Amino acid sequence: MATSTTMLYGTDSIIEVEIGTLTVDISGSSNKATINLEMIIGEASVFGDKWPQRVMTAKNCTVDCAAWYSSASNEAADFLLDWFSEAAPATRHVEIYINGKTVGNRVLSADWVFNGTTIDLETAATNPIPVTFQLLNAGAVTITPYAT
Amino acid sequence: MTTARYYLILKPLYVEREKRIMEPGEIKDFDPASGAILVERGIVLEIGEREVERRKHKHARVSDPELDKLDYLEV
Repeated sequence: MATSTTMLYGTDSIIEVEIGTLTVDISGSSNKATINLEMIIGEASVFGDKWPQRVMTAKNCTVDCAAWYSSASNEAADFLLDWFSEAAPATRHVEIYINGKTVGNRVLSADWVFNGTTIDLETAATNPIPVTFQLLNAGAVTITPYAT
Repeated sequence: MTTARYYLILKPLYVEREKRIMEPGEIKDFDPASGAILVERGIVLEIGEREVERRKHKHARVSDPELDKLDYLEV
């Protein structure tokens, strides 16, 4: 069995978000994106058969992200607080380039709803204020290779 | 200076210049280095100018089974 030579590390990943008409890179103020791909299973069992039938009925995707609280505009915290503060919050387009914009690497792309954020203020903390947030897909999610 | 080559897209591919996902059957030029990476990963198939012209003429958007029928791909 050949050892893979194309394993990727996550350190150079990029998160781009939609702010108004702009596409803004918030990677410089964020440090984690956990992509959860879920297959939703429908199940039916019947009398006389111990084995249930299962079908993959739907798909779901959530992204759990972590960022640092910063005061500049168009950084992660500003993006989230603006989104939360909207009178009628709308979906936004977010793209995550898995290990950066390198040809052949994959990019996850979708419109998302914002499922909330936590901002942890603590007197004893020495690191910057951590911010976590979760995105839920609003419609289809694509995970495609990237090319220039 | 590198010369662009033409590639038939086999799997959905996000193309930065297009700002969209290009679908299987579409044709795109990539620089040879980028194209080589995509070929290696089975995402695109390099095709020659004659094949590009033929597809433009037919307005073809092919599916995978049709690819098997092609017997004069120029590479």
